[in-house]
Amino acid sequence: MNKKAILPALLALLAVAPAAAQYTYDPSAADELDKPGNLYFGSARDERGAAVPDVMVILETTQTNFTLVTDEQGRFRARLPLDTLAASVKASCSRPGYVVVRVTKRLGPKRANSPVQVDCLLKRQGAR
Amino acid sequence: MPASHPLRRAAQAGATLLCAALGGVGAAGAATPQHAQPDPVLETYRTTGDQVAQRRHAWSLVARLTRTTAPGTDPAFTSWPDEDEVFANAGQDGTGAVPARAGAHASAEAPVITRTFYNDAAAQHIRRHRLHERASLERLRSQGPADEQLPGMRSVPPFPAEAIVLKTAWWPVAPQGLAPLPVWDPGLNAVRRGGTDHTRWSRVVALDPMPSASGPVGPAGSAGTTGPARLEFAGRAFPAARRIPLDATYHVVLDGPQAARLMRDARSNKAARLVLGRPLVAGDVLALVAVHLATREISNWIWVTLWWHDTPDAGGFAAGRPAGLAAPWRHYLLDVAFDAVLPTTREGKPHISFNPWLEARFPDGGQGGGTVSNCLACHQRASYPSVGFLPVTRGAPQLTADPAFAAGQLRTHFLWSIPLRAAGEGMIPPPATHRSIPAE
Repeated sequence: MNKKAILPALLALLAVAPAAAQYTYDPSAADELDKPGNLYFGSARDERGAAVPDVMVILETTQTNFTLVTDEQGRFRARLPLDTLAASVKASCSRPGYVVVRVTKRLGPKRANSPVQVDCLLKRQGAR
Repeated sequence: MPASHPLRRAAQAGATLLCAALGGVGAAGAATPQHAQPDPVLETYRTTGDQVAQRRHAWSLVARLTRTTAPGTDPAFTSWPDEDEVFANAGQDGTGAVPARAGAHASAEAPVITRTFYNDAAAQHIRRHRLHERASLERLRSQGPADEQLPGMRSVPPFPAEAIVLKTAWWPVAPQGLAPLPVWDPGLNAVRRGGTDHTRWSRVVALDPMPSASGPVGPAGSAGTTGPARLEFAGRAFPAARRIPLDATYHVVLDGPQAARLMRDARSNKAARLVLGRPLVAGDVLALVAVHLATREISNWIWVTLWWHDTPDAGGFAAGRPAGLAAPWRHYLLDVAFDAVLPTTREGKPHISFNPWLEARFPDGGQGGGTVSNCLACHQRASYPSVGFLPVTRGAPQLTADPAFAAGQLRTHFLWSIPLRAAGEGMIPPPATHRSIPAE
């Protein structure tokens, strides 16, 4: 076995593993895309990368709000109506005892039902 | 909180239907007759659209329902059975059990904690006619009595005139610290086509569970510990939220079993996590923010709705409140519907009577959203199998266009809880390993 070849492969695997562990599904998989509605998914983490559960995630459109809450892995996902214009959806996050550092919205490929990722970075109130 | 409190009783497994009935209710100021027929005086209030008389009667109902026998005790309705007791064993009658919808928490709504209570007449009627069983409802679809109002439709047996149903909505509050509580100000909230739920209301107050720190309710902007507070809620900052003592609301303190039980209900679970950022635990408080009260005093039932407000003496929804109504009930505004149409609005449109906590979130499905809805116009559509209570419809039943009135539908006498429970919705599952509440 070529040890020189294995090491980079292992390192690459380790680099990918945490990200892969964040989600138990592939948002680009055909069965996900076939479901009705536009998939929104994402996570809430603190400044050390730890998952933050029970974060209120609000996806605000011109018509209404969609209110989600992150699970114990700090994840959420939901489907919004297909006629919701992803670019105009305003995302916000909040949880008592935390300060929101950043909310990142990543649009998918330019298709009507491409998944949209929303990630929240929070900091515990009083933390340096 | 006495042992009979609903949230305590609801925590008891296998609770029976031993409940204290309020007794009959009648026209405003009347004694409490156990009348079997709808009240003709109240029917006149309906046909004339007399809002002053309707409101007077509605407030009298509230006064009776909230009366206590001694200071520190809970009102009579708190001893009534809730939906889990009344509809116990629903779906387990051999017709195929329908479990609680696993995906209920997948909804993208912002729920509040709700519990519905039934007085003795209502509860016994449901149990006597086995309206908690799908098999009975299926049988009534073909063999039930003819509906009193809509020829060609069948109905569950009409409820007795003494029946009362009370839907309550609660806001979780931690025992320490200030809690943001959204307040509905009609003129300040832009109505959105997709619904206007409480996460986007323009104002919140700061509920203070420490009465000594807040003092009496004062105007916003005063200084010190009674002055405005900075709060965040739903991703927004409120730099000058008016500070209000928790005692300005009717509220209950949860014990461990109560909190655990509510956390098994998907909607309550989500509501707690959204507001508190954690599950409910012993010592947390639930503040009553809204009530729907339905009494079967007339054929259509009478629909009274209440919601909490920090300036409850201003505006038309305060009109007619009896001077003797006890605190904290004076902090609730009221609207009422005796009819789906009457009295019409200034524009000549059907009567509007909605609760901001329960209906403002409803989207506009073509006839307007929840802010132009009417309790009665919605509940007249209640039928089995459930067709869902949306979209909002206005006015008289739309017999040809509305699937709620299609052939084969069984009217459930204005109660949505009958078809929804038969479909397994709103049932709290038995204790199990803790589950998180993912969005999907």
